[in-house]
Amino acid sequence: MKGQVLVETVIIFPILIFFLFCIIQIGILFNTYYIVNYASFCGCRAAIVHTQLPDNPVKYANDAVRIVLLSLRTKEVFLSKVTVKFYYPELEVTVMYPLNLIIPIFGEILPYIPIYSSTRLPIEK
Amino acid sequence: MRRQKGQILVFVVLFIPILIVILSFVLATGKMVYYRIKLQNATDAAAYTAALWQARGLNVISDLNWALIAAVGGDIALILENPTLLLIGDKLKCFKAIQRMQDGYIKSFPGLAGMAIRANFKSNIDNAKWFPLCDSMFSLRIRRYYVLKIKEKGVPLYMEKSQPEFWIEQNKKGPFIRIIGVRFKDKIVFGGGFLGLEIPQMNAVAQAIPTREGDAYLGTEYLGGLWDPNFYAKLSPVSARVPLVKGLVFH
Repeated sequence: MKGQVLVETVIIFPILIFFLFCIIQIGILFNTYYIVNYASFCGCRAAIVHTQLPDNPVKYANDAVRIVLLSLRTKEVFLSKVTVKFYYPELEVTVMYPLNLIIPIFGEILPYIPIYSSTRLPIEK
Repeated sequence: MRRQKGQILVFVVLFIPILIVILSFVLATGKMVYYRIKLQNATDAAAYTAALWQARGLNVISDLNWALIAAVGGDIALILENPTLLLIGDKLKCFKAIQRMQDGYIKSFPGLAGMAIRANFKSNIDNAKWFPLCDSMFSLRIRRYYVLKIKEKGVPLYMEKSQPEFWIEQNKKGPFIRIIGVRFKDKIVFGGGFLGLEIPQMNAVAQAIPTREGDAYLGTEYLGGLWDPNFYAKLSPVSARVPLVKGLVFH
């Protein structure tokens, strides 16, 4: 009966490690969601003040979103997508950020989770 | 069976610190983003308030320009084209009264705007201050010259139009207010930064201008700037060279 504990530990250990990774992953997910949310706000704020004709609101929204997302210090920033939609007199900026999963085996089945966030603000005309 | 008693304790000891670290990290980010958005909105509102008072002032003055014309006799062409104008007695009194009224608005509105910004910003966010990033509060920048030329007794009074205008030009409106809002570092408890209670200092900048339909862009000449009392406030893009980056939060 002496080795029983060791065997049980060996079986349970990977599962526990998996749970640990899951907890860390959820933490990263929430953190990223906050940042993406803030990025969409910044993008929308930049776009609504640049809607007058010679200006390009899409460019400014993209710039503002990328600058905020760069604080995540990942290379997925360059895979992110920014969509600007006009619902006159409002403007909506949607940001999609592909979050890279860190869970060892699961991460290879589903490498990215897309995180969406959108903000809608009235246009400054 | 006795040996299995402390088994799960190892994992608990391993997991709990990791859990706490992650939770505090997420909390800190969330709170920072929350306050950053709140600060930006408060700064926007403050700048918008200033521009609103400026627009209000321009509108009032524009209306009073019309009143000036009415005092002269209701003819715009008379003012715009005639080199001299005839103003006698009551008409002159009326004219001067309206001009005094315009002066009153011009003197009082910037101060009122300052008070309004202060109240607005204070009610929107705590532990923060606002500073104007421009040289001064906006001015409605009156460029009027008192051009009433009084002749000898018994002879009618003349007002010369060949000298600079005797109404206020709206297209020479003053510096637009640009506001920086600063939220200071929270100091709640020792080690609070670890749990997201201590948020770093952050800044936000906003600028607003009075505008109206047909105004193409900031810096261009305003068409028909004298007579249109239809100004409203609008946020405008800022190009301020101030340190805006702090920690995770950019703008």
